[in-house]
Amino acid sequence: MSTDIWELKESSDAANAAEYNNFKMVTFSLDGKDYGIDIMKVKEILKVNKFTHVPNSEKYVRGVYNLRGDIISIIDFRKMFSIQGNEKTDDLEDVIVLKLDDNKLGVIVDSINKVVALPSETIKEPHPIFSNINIKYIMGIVERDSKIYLILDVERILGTADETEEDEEEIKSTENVLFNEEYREVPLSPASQEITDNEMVVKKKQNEKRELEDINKNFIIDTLKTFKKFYISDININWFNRRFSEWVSYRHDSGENIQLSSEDDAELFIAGYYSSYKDQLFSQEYAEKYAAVLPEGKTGNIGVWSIGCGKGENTYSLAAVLKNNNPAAVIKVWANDKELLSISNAPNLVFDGESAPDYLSSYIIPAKKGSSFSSELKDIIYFEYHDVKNHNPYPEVDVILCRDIFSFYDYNDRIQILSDIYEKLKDGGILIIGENEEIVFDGLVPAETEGIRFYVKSNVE
Amino acid sequence: MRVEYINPFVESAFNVLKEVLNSEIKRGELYLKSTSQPVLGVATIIGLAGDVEGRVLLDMSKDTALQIASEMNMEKLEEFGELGKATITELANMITGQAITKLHELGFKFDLTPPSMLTGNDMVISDSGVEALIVPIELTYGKIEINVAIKEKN
Repeated sequence: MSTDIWELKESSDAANAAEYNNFKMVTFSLDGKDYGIDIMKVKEILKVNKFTHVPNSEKYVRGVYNLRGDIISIIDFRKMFSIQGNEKTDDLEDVIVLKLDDNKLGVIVDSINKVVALPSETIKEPHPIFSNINIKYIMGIVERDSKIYLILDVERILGTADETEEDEEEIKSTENVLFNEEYREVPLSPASQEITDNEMVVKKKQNEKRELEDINKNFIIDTLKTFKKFYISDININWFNRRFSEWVSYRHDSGENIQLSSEDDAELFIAGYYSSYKDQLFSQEYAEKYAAVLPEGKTGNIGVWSIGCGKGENTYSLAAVLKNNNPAAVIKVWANDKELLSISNAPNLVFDGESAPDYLSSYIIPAKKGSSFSSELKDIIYFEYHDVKNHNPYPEVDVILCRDIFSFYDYNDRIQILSDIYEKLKDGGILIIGENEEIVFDGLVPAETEGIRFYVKSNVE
Repeated sequence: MRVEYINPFVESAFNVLKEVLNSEIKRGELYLKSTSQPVLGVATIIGLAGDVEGRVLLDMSKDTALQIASEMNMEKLEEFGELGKATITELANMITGQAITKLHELGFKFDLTPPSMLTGNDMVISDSGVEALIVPIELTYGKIEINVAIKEKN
């Protein structure tokens, strides 16, 4: 090892350097590109070869190495990232030994360069459309001495990171993932000891295919978040997996790339996510399904909270169905949306009354252009400009309609909204969510009538 | 906040300011704020009661307030004293009053409390359980925020 590797890069203003250069990274190159790893994760560097090959391991596991009595696994980053470049057979390999929790691990790179110190504020977030290394594994990007360094998040890559918060939530079900434990330890059943070479090849191919699919999935998850603020989580993961397969074959047939390269692509991808009659009045048939789910023959007060009502079509439909179901009840509907333009139009919704379904007929009056709703229906709905992640003063309600909303809020907001919903729902009250959504929440029991999925609040205590 | 309430406040703020000031007036994008919010420095509060409960807050920096007061009194005020304060209070009264009149025409009944003014630095206002609509207005003298928080009586 040459000594200059550990030499600190002096900044022009040496006096301030120690104070501001609070981030140090070991830099290395792979296929001519520059990368960095946080020095706090690096135990030491080595120039070695003669690794002990481990049979039936993943292709990027080069083997194990005896480091002064500790046996450590050696991973080849070139293979892991599908980067061109060959093993140095006769020469010594550059190995960075990482300490991840208590675990030591060596990674092989083309060449280790030096340690660079820099102020952590200069590290920029990577753009989602980045390299062939998935963005999740890039901690940041930084420019130094006219070189661009990608700083890798080794804990993520090597699968020991505490994946907290939304990330955990979001990855959990796709359980991805590139370099997850699951992949490294393909279980060997007793029979598989004797698998033929042929089966091995098939299995390997399947694994490779699965890996590629997971990379693509993660990429799409990231781009959906960037372009449409659409978050994949437990709530919509089943839909996402179905949609992903559809999408792959659709893009394959049309000869296009699977990845989402624009907002339009992202919009197209989530088009199938929205529930029936989004931004439309319910048809007679659909309204009858709702009628079967909603309370019937009640007297007294019925409260409804309609979240993300847009221009109000769904809310009017729901209110009409509820009014038909409960002619003697006093119904009050709080409807809100955070889009000022949509919600501003809601109180004066104009539509084509000629073709309106029967269940609405008694509430329709002619308007200047087309028809609008009579005050009998209009007056029971309060349209409010309100973002559901903020507090609201609504009382407890019997019915909550919240279709296709959760996916547009991040993990923390989702949790907050869901607890808000739970708090505002009366015992025995029902929550209707989007057709492609599923929630798991203590005290909200899933039920289904006539193909409409909903949740009933039953107090656990 | 109910959609019907938004426009009257936006319109009256715009109209009143246009009438009393010789300044170019630009309306910013409306937005919502939740719970605690910082206040710019001179805050005039008018309470609302009736079918609803809530308040309107006219919020601006001291410097802006002084310039607006000077303009409205047609004389240059050197410090933000009694006259300045009374002027800004009156401005808040005019804006809210006109909005309430418009709402009344639409069939909503609101009562007003007399305005009170708070001045100081690093002030924060909190309203429990209701989010506020912010109507930002850009003048050549600076920015005025009209901050409306109203909830229906259940």
